[in-house]
Amino acid sequence: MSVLVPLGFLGLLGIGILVLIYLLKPNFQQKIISSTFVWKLSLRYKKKKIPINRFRQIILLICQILIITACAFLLSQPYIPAEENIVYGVEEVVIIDASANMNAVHSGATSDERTRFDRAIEKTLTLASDTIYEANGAITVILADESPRVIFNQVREEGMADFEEGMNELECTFGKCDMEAALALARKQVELNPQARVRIYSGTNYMGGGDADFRYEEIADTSAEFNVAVLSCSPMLDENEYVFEVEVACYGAEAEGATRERTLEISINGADDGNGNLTNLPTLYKQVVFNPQPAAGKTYSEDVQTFTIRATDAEIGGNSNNLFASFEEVKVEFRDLYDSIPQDDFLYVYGGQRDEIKVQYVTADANSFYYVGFHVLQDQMRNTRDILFTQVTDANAIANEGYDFYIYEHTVPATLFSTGLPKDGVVIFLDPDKQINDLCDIELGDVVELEGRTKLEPGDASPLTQYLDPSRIDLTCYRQVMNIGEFDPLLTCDGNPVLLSRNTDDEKIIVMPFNINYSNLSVNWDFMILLYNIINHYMPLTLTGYLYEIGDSIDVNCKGPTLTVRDRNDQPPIDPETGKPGTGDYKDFPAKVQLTEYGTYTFTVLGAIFSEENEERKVFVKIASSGSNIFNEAEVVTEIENGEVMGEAGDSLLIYFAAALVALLFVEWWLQTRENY
Amino acid sequence: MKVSYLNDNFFSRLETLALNLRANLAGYFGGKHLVKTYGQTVEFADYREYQLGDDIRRIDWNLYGRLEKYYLKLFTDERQMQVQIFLDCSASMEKADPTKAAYAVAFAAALGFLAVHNMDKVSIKQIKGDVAEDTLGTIVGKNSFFRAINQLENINFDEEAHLSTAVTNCPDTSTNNGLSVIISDFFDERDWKKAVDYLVYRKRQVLLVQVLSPDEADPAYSGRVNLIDSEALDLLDEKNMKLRITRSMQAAYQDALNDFIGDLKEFCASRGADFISVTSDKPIEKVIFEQLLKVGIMA
Repeated sequence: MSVLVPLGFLGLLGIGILVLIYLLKPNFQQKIISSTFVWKLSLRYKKKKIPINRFRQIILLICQILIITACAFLLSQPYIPAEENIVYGVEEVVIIDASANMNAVHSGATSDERTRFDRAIEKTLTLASDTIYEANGAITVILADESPRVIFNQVREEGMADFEEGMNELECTFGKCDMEAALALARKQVELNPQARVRIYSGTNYMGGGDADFRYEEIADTSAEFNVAVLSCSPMLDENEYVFEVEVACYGAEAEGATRERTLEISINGADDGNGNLTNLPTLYKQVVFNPQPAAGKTYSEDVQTFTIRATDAEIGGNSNNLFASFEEVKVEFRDLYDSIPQDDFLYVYGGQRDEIKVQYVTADANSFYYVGFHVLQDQMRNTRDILFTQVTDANAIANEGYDFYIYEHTVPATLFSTGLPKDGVVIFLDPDKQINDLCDIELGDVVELEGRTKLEPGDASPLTQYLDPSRIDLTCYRQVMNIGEFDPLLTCDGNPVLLSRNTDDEKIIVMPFNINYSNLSVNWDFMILLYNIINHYMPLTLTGYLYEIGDSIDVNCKGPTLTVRDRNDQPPIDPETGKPGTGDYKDFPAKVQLTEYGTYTFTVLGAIFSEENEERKVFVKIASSGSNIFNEAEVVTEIENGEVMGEAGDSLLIYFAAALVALLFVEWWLQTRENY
Repeated sequence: MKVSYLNDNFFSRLETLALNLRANLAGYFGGKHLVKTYGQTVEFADYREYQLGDDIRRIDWNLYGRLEKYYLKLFTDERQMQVQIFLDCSASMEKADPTKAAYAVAFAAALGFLAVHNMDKVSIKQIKGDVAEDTLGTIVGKNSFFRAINQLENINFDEEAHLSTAVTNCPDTSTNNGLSVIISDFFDERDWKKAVDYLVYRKRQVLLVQVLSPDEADPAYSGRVNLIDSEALDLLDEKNMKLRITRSMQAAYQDALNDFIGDLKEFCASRGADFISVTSDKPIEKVIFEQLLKVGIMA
């Protein structure tokens, strides 16, 4: 451990002052007594009975000395260097941007393939050589990606071999860069060594930072770099026709004489004609003309365009027959560009196929509330799910398999007593009678008619009742539950369960032992919330999005026990906790998945509920949009001040130290005047 | 200004009291103390058969008339006792708290008055250093007593007092003839117990009276204190001591004092002596009526 301000130990003089105060204490008051005989006897008693008294007498002095010592240490600012002792002297602190735009190469088919990152490494090695060998200094390197860190700290001549080897092994990412955090690390380094100077090697033009005392080394080459990118593609349903809103951009100037007109190819694969027939539609070609003129005040052009693609648009090669209800994937691509970053010249859109949820509603007395409720849900979820609602009143038409939800209202089909409950879906009993006592582990009793409206009360916490407010639901009649068996009571009325669920690996049953006509449930929001919770709990979406950027962390869900995730290289994603590749298998949901590679990620649900078939979902992860803008500009606010960082803090501590000393003197004076205990 | 308890009111309140000494003391002729030997008083005690050599004038002829045997009629005897009062005249009795010395003098005077009131002889011996000075001589009768009282008020309490040496060297400690009282604070590092043993050996009834000032019984001072012993020669004397008196220190003092008094009581009980401990802030009449009656000295 070292100290930044050795003079701070002058504060220890306070201990001397304290001791002086004790020495200058007033003399003992004199007291004439008849005899000291008993007092001398008492000394023996005191030693025998109260051995710690001597310590108690000096504990105040000890505390005061400790406080002064602590203040002196604060003043001297002790520190422990991170890896090795800080060396004062010439030091270059280099921040190397490792974000996506640093992957840019010189454009053109004959490019030497060296990226900006490679050039930054070369510059750093040259700087290190100059600093260490010629100026007898040291070099510190901070890699600025999404989690900036010091990768080399004060490397000197003896460490050059390892330094060169390590620098050549560095790889750029396709993610973002947290330059503020990197500058904070650099500032710490400058605080430790006020002679250190900071350089940033980045393709992004960083500005601001107050009086930032660092040198920005531009790696970008506006004369030889340009980049065309597909920034996003959003599928939307427009009157039952899929349309795609595409955003593309071009940054920088192409080689002289090159055309500004580019062709965007859109391939729609696995299009469903509505009858389950999947076809790959003919490729669509969209001509995009970028503006080559730089914007005012800039030396390079930047043109971002957004347009809508329709497969029925004859201008881009489509025809009126290209109507489809869903699709497997859409690829949007600029081909044969030879621009600076080829990784952002294309992207895929998945998720055109919606989950199909089949609901069988069996009732002897059809209730329109359920019909309407499920259709409202269908409308709300139309981008992600298809809810197929089948109402059955004919006993002969009742199916015992093939549905995700089996709803029985007022009735229980006779076939259930011979075949048992359906095994491939969630069974929901609405206002059942005592017959279901033989079908599941519950004992229903007689109907109880309440004298007036009674509000429901919450039962066990469950995802089925989240966001539900039982106090809004009134009830006037229900069937008494004599024994709930292994069911969980989710809502109660006068202590009697009126919504129960049983959730095992084999059976998923919901029982609502009251007629909805005797409740206001169907006419308030809680009815829709309950239906939504039921569907979302038992049939959750694996993914809620279809297009992400590198560095995003997404929550995934799963209808089965295990979800397997693989990137475009069939590798598992990074574990956020360890920072290293994980197993790629997730069992606790919702699970968090860190996306660190561009390209397609595949999510496979192993053994989906009821079906036991594997379900596969894909998403595309693109490089950050800020990475596609290879001539990006950004502002930083972190300030770096050389040399005088500690001065103000030291002065302020001196004031606190003086105040503490005065306070101690006051306490001591007060104790002196008290002169007792 | 000297503190004095001795006045007419004080002595008038003692008129009704008398010393109650043990009956096995021998004493002198002419007093008022009943003893267990037979004498010539008018108070009948017992009969015994006539023996050769007995004075035939003492034969009870009435009894002979009934029993035709010669019996002598015996009467109790009354003796005069000698009460010795050893008064500690060291500086510790007065210098720190004059009322303590005055209280001791008053206590001695009260005992002396009770003695002369019962026609006993009294000698008040002032212990100074190794000597028990008897400047007042033997006092018999109230006139002599009141003359002596005037001198008693002028006693100087200074120097040291060595109880054991003074008592054992006292030339006038007659045997089996009365009460010996030692009035002191007994804060003596020397072995004062020898004095008690010596008096018991001389078959005297012994009473120890410990007089303490209120400050000694319960010290009210605290903090950093340089305790100056009243018998110390100067500030550098070993008897002085510097202390930081805290609550725990005061508790230790109380424990030490209680154990010390307990040791005194236990020792006196083992020697058949009586002991009382008084503080000078208590009314002296209350002490005499309560404590002396309790130990059986008063009647």
